[in-house]
Amino acid sequence: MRSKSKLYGKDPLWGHTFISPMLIGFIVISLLPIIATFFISLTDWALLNNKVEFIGFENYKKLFSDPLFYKVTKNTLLFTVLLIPSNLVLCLGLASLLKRNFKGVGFFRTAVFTPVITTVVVWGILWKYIFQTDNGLVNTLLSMIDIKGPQWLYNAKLAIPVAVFVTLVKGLGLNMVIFIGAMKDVPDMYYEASEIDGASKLRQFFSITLPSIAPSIFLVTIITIIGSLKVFAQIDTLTEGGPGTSSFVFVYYIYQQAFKYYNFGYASSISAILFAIIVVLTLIQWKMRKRWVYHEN
Amino acid sequence: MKRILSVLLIIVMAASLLSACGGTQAPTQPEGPGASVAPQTGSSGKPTISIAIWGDENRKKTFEELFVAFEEANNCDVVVNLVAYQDYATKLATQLAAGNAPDVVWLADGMEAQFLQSGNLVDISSYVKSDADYNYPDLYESAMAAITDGDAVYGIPFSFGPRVVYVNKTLFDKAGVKSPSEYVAEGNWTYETMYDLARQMTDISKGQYGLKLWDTSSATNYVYAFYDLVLAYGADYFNQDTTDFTLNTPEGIAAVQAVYDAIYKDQSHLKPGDATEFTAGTIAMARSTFSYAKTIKGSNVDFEWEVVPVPKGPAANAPVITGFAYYCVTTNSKNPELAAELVKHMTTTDMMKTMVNTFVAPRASLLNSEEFLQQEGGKPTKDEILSSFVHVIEEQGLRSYPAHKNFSKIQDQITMDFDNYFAGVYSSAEETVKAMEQAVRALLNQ
Repeated sequence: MRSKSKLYGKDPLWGHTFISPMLIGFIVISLLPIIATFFISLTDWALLNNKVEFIGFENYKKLFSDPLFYKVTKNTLLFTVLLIPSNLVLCLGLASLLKRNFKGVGFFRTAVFTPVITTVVVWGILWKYIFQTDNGLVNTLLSMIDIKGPQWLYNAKLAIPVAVFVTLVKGLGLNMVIFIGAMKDVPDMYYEASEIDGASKLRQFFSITLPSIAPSIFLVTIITIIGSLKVFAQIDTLTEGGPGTSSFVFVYYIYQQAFKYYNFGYASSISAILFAIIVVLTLIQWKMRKRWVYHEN
Repeated sequence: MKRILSVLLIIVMAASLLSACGGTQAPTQPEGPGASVAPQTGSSGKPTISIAIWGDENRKKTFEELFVAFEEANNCDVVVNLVAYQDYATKLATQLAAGNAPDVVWLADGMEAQFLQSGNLVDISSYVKSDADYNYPDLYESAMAAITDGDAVYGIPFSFGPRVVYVNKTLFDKAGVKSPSEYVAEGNWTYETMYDLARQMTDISKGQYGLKLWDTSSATNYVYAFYDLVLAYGADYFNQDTTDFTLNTPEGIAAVQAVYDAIYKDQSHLKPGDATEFTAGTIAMARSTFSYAKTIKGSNVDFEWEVVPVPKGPAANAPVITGFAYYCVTTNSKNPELAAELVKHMTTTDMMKTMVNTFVAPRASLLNSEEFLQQEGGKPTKDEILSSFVHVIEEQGLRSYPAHKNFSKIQDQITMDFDNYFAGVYSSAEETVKAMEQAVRALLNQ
């Protein structure tokens, strides 16, 4: 504590100097637009006319009577509900397999991690080709075993699951690395002691590994939920919200209203609602973490 | 000393950030080219005109070279801004709101209606109508419809996209099937014939398709994509003054049904989402704009191809319908007079002849000129050009896509309903058109 206070007292201006570019950038690029969004949501600002009139909560009233808003909410929640468990299960499974040091493990880790460093738009376009109806890789492979594949991206029931799959494969590597790091931090003595007690590998996983890496699971869950509520690029490149409105999600709807129809007021009200949903979900998880995160520093 | 340095550093950083944010100028709304706004000058002290175009670096370079004569004649600088087409409308709307839009812009695909109706374009009629040498009447009247309001002219079209059908002659010869050009010569080139030929030319086992009516690789504006087809069947999406949705007729339903059948019943048409190009050599007939010929030539395809007109439907005299690209002057312009002169300079008959291999300009004299009819490499041939759309325009007329203040929403709604039909959400053409009718009528009356 003494050294800390000494450091603070010695030259705090240097510290502030070094963080100021980031701080100013955050205030100008993030914080002020976030605050402005709430004010814009109370206006009827249409960018092309550039006329702004204060209309109170009219945009919110319109929003709650807009059937597409409910569909967008349902689609976004479906995306989230499908992505979170599959993401956790797959990443934990891959981390359990690839945390060990066996021959070729580097290759597999690299293979799983590579999509993380690929641009999301490129990734989406690539999978769009793979999921083409007649000439796509998936349906071509299926046709070799006499299965007629569906219109993956032009099927109202499949559009969201396919987008979830594409998002899942892209993000696996990063979450896997987080879990591998956490698993390697679990002291070997726990496993040794449980082996003496006759615990199976499965029992060790559920009773030692999972509780020990709970903070990492908590982190990955929060990041994935926020990411899935903000999903845009995958939807834009794969389905453009279609077919019909079957894969319209929050951010795609905001994009459409703001940058296709130039209804900045209405788009801001959707953004405000999305912001509120993310805050509420994050707060709930934060409160609940005490129940299942045991090893938090 | 360290503290002083730190404070100075923070002040410099904050100031530079603020100055970067404060670079935009206050919006100005001149009423016309003669409005009293101080002309903007560049570092050379000369007036500066900025123009936003889409395309690639080669196009930008071509235009910069084309502007040299104008710069010398008017003692000014012309700055060319290259903007990606997909971001073009959004960027322009944002720039207009911030008051720093380019002086001259290109507008197309319905953008012109949005920016015109929102009062962001300048009337340049006095510049183009008063000069006999400019030959304003030579511009197709229908091409001007979407960009004029009474006597006011808010832009000049420099390009349009008449549709033609590209035929892979090698595939027809190999299959021993009578080619579309023979049906054209006989006067029997109809949609019915085209769909029939498509069935004959399809061989799924070889990945060979008979027909591609539109670019199936990405989400498409189906209003534009099917408009000529709908008109050919004797139907229309809207009434004459765009106040009512009129596709829900037997003719309209037949047009929609025919497209669906080609894709899903006959399986002779590429399915939505399929990125196969005509240049791959596995598509017998592809309907696209005339400019697609450049793509085919640039792809060095190893098959013979020819160009025929789009077929006739039950309404044999349906007009050729197309969108146009326009040069317009924005109300943000600090040099509106010079900007209007630039638009005029770029759209004279002589200049359009210079650009004839890049843009198909809607000037009657140009479409019949040797400069246009002698395409690079002799393909498409003069006869193909004349028969595929020049004569068709002369005989059946030219029409521009309709405009409405809610057109973005309307076309998105129609596109979504077509999507729902193709995805199996709607079970019939009747249901699809009925759903469109209900939703589009609400948007038309908003």
